[in-house]
Amino acid sequence: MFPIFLRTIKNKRTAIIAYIVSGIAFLLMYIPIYPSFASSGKQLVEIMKNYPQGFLKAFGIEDIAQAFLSLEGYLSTEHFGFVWPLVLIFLALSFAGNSIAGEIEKGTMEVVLSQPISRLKIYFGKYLGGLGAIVLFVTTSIFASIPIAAIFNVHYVAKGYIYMTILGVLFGIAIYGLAMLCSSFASDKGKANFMTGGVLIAMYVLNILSGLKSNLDDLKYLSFFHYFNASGALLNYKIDSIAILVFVLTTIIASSQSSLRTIRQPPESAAILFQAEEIASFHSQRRESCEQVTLKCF
Amino acid sequence: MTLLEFDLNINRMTQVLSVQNLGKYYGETKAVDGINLSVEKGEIFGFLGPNGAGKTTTIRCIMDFIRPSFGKIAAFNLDSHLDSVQIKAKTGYLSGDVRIYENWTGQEHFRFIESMRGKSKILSKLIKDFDFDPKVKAKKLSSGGKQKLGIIMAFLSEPEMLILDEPTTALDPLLQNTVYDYILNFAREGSTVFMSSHNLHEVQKICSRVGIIKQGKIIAEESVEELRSKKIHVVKATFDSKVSMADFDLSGVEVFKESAGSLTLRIKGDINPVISKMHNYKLKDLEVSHASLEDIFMAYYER
Repeated sequence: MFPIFLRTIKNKRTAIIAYIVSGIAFLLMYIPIYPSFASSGKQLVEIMKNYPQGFLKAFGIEDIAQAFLSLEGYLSTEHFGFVWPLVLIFLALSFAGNSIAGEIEKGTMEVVLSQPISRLKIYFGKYLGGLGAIVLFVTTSIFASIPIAAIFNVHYVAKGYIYMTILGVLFGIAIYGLAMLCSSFASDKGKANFMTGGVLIAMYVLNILSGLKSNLDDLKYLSFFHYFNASGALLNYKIDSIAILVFVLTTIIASSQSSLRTIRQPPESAAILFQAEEIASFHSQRRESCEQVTLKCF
Repeated sequence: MTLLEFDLNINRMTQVLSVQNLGKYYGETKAVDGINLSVEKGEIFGFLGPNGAGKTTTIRCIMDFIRPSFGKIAAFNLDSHLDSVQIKAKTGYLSGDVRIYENWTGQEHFRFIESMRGKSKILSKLIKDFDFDPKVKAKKLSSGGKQKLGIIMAFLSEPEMLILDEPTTALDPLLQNTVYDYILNFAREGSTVFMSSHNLHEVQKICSRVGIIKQGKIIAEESVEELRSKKIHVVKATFDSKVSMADFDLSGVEVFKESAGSLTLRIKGDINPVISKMHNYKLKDLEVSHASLEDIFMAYYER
C-alpha cells in the first residue's frame, strides 16, 4: 500500500504545493489589510446590519459585530467561511477524480492492477494519499495565519486556529469521501467531478435557501455548509457535535462504499473499473473487424 | 493412489493456466462465450484471432481486471479472482495498448514495480538489450518506445508466467527478434507464456501451441505442428497448355491464384482428386506444400 500512497503524493506534489501556496497567498492578501479594515469596523457593522440575513449567511457571517472586530472574525468572514472551503473542495475533487476514475480514463489502472497488490490496498493507498494532501493543505493554510499576523503586528488568538484546523480537516475528509464515492461510480474524471460538484452545489443552494425563508429553515440540515461553521471554530472555539457526527459518518459511509465498489466490481455493473472502457473497446474492435471484412469483400 | 489420480496429479503439477467455460457478456453482446483452454508449464501458447474476437477480453479476465459473466480461471492451481495477488506476484503482464504514466520516466516506472515485486536482477540487461533510455519521460517516448517500456516492465521480475497481449506491436524487426529471444529463454527456463497475436509469422516462429478464437469461441486448440500437418495443401502448378477451370471446381478446392498457364490451389482434405485432374494436362512444374499458418488460420475463419 505504501508505494501507491507515495506515488499518489509524488504525482500530485506540484498541485499540492500550488494549493498550499495559494492558501498562504490569500492570507498574505487579507491579513495585512486587516488593521485598516478594523479601524472602520464600527461603521461597517452599521452598514451590514441593513443587509438581508440570507445574504450574510451566504458569506458565513453569523454575528456582524464579531465579524469585523477581531482578526479571527474578519478571516472567518472573508476567507475561511467563503474562499478557503472552495479551494479545499477543488483540492479534494482533484485527488478523488484522479484516483480511480482518472486512472481508468488514462488506462494507467492496468499498470497498478497487474501488480501483486490487492484492490483494497490500491484503494487505500490512493485514499490515504489524498487524505494526506488534504490534512497538509488544511494545516498549513490555517496555521500560516499566525506567523503572518505576527509579521504584520496584528493581534491574534492561536486557540481558534486549532479549532479551525479540526473543523477544516473534518469538512475536507467528508468532501473527499463523497468525491471518492462518485469517482468509484464513474469511468472518467469529468463525470466523477460533475457528480460531486452537482451534489455540493445542491448543498450550497439548500443552505442559502434555508436562510431566505423561515419555512425552508430545515433544508440547512441537508447541507455540509451549514455544519461548516468557521466563525464558531475561530471565534468561539466550538465545533458543533452534530457537525462532527455528520462529517465523520459521511466519511465512513462514503469511503467504505467506494472501497467496496472498487473491490467487488460486480459483473452486472458495467460502469466500474474498465468495464465501460471494455465495452467501448470491444465495440470499436468489432467495428474495425467488420470494416476489415468489408474491405476484404471489395 | 490409482493411475487416474496419479495422472490428474501430474496434470495439476504441469498445468499452469486453465480456463474453463469462460464467458463474458456485455448485455446482449457475447464478447467471450464459453471458452476452454489450458497452458502447460514451459509452453508458449499463441492466442490467435482477429480484432473483436475476444482475445483481450479473455486476457483481462485472466488478469482479473474484469470479472467473467461465468466460468472459472485458475493459474498455478489458484483461483484467478480469490488468489489474484499471489498469481500476479508470479505473472508479468503486457497490455495490448500500453498505457503508462505520461509524467514518469522509465526509471520511475521500474522503481514503482520494483517497490512491489522486489529488485530486478535483469533490469540493466533489459534496458541495454532493448536500447531503452530510462531517463526520458514517458510522454516524450514514441509508440515503439512505450512498447519497449511495457515489455521491460512485464519482463523485469522474471515471472513464472507471462501474459502478453500482442507483444511486438510497434516494434521494428530487430527488436521483435529481441522479444522472441527473451520469450524463448523464459520458456526454456520453465516460464509459461500466453500471448495473443495478429502476427502469424511470430506465432509460427515461437509458439508451441495455438488457440484460435472466433466470435468469442475457441475453434481450434492444437500444436503448431499439428495445425500445419492438417490436410491443407497449397498446390502451385504450371501447365504447358490452357487449363479448364471447370476441371478444378471440386469440393474443398479453392483457386487461390490464376495466371497464364499457372494455377495456385488451396486444397482442404484429400489431394488425390486434384492430382488426377492434373494428369489430363502436360505439366511444366508442380509444387505441393503444406499450408502456412496464415492459410490455415484463414481456412478456419472462412468456415
